[in-house]
Amino acid sequence: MILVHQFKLECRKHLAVFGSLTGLSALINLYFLFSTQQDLAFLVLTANMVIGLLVPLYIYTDLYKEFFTGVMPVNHLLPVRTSSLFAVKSAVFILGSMTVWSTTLLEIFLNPAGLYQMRIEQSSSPALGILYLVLSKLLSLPAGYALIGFALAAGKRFRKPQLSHLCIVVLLAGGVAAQFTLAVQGSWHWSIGTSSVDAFKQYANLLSVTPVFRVMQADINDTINWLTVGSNVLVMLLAGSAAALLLNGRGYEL
Amino acid sequence: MENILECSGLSKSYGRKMALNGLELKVQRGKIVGLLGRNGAGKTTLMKLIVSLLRNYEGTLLVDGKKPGVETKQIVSYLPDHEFLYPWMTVEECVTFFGHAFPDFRRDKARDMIGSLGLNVKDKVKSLSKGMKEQLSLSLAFAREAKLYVLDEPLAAVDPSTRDKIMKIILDHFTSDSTILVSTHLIQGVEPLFTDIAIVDEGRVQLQGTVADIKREYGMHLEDVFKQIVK
Repeated sequence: MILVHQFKLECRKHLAVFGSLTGLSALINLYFLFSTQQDLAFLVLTANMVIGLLVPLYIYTDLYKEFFTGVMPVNHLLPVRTSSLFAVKSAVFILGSMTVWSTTLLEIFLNPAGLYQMRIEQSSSPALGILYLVLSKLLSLPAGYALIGFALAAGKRFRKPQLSHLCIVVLLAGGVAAQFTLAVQGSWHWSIGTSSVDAFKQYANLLSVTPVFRVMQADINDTINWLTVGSNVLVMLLAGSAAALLLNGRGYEL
Repeated sequence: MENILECSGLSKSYGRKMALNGLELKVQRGKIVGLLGRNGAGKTTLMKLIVSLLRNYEGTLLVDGKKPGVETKQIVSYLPDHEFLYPWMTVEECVTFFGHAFPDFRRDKARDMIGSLGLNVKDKVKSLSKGMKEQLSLSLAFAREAKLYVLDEPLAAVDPSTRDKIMKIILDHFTSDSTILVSTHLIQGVEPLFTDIAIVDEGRVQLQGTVADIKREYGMHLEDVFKQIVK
């Protein structure tokens, strides 16, 4: 019951931020959908990219304050494991991130020149395409939060702040870089934080990557890369387990 | 009498700095124990170990016969030495939060205490004065039916009037079933609060006993005993 109430509390705490970003993203995507002024497209895409960056940045900052600096110890006095507190927060962040992301589906599905009507509908299996579209995003989120949790908990093992922060940066950058390599393999070039109708977006942890191939695949389902989904699942399990061990261990102190 | 808290050879270091250095302390149930010591003596470290905010230590530390952890958090009510409530919550929301968080929290008791302090339940925490926040935090801590109350410097940095109110809250809510551990570096005027004291210095308990015994033995006020022990 404590965790259920904690979930509600966290939802309330972050409602304003996620609500605002969802509203803003929805407005931008709707505007893009109905606007005939294509010269504003770049501005809209940039705004989408900024929102896409703001969400993980906000989440990282909150997790850092709660589990690294410990500015709000009241939560750590609750008779629950620290890993459970982290899991509850992550669940709220997954919900918030997915809500913000869901507004981009307006453009994907309703725009006649969007990903669904241009490519997925004509693919060998539209159902598989939609499944991949949602699943790849959905599984990237717990992988991201698990890696952040692992990095923060590992960073707490060092007494010197410089070493702590170096540890966090190395683990986060190393984890994401390894996954990123997997996401861009075989592609001609790639772009971060953008989307196109050429191929499905891949997720290297919280980083979204759009690979572009020399020859556009006739069937967009050929650009599905289950390895990136698999790597996110693997990171979620490994980093999540390591984070839980460290957060509940004797070495984790606020 | 059974001990609610037992520390034996308790040591805790922050890098090369020893905060606790083989501390020995036994606290019986049904006592109000003053943990007296200068700033940096190790009082807050000891309290954080008791409530499991710090976990890495050497020696033995038992709260109600168990190592500090999730289980002991259910029977220990802690008041940190700094603000720890969500500033955006109203007083009533704090009561609701504690009610959900701690099964031994009594909302009616909290509301009565808050009402008697003259706090408006609709006020946000961030709008309260320091003294009011301290009293609210203390009311929330005492609205739990805990076995051990751990209060870190509740009397520091408040005006004399607020200090008297805080002492009254502590005394009013003391029962023989519970134990209260209060850390303070202020001794003058707070003597009547304690049944027992433990003077901590350089990470060790230098003197422990009942207030009456210590005063009888030394023939002076606690403040003078403290000055003599902690030179």
